[in-house]
Amino acid sequence: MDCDPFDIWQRCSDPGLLFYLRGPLSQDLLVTIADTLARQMRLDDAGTATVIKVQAILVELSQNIARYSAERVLDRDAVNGDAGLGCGVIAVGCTSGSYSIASGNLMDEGQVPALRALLDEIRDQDADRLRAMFLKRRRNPSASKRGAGLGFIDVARKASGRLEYHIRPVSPGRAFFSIRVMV
Amino acid sequence: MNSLDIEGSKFTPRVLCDLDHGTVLIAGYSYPENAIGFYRPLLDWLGGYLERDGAAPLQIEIALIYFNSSSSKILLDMFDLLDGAAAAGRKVGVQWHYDPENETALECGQEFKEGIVHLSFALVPGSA
Repeated sequence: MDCDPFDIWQRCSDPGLLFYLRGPLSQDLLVTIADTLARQMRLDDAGTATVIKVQAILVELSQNIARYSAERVLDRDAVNGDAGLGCGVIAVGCTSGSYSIASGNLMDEGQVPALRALLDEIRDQDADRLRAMFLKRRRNPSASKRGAGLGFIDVARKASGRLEYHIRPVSPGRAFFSIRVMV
Repeated sequence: MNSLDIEGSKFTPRVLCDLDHGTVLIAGYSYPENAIGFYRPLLDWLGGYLERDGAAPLQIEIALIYFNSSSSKILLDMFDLLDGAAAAGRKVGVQWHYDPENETALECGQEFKEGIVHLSFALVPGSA
């Protein structure tokens, strides 16, 4: 392992970057991050509505990584036992009172078309249609192949503006999925 | 059956079900990894209570600050259960408490209310 803290400190010195994590997204870690972030946001006079929205988006994206990432570590305490714990990237930033929440993780190439179709459908909807999509999907979960669908719709509803995402191939059978949302 | 008392945590709500008075409180944050695992005891308790003869009317106070999408599905299941009981003539009421500064909590309450037919469901600004 060749890891220089000074190197990392330099590379992550963007003043707008509040928090950055690359690793396994355990529930304990998520709770600590969400709680610490909420406290920081309140100190920065973010309104209650904004704090809740940022927390919500962070939770949905992180729990998606924990559940669905193709990069996993063994975790005997994990709720889904042998499936282990998902790994990925989470980054939260703030510029002039506008928050950005981004996440990324490895995924199976075979899952890419379905994910693209879902996100392309979601990101072009207005508030009313997103609401209708959310209520319909919540009522009929078996109709959706991916459990993550409801979470992404929830994220889109809480975001200001369009969600941005990228899916890029990284190795045979694997792609890297990243998503960024503003509040 | 007994009363149910589950302490809250930073990511799971306080759940308090009083068998003698027919009162239920669900308050706090809800984003467990396994929502059905967490809510199973509550759903079982509600199912059991609604089948008791001569039980007091069921009054449920909900004051959730934030809940994730998987909790949202379970809450829908719970309201379906309660709505069904109300349709069958049981006395059941829900009070959905929300912080007026938290527009998400109000919207979520409104959305649940819209899907309900028989159950008495009130949106209440302020704490439980």
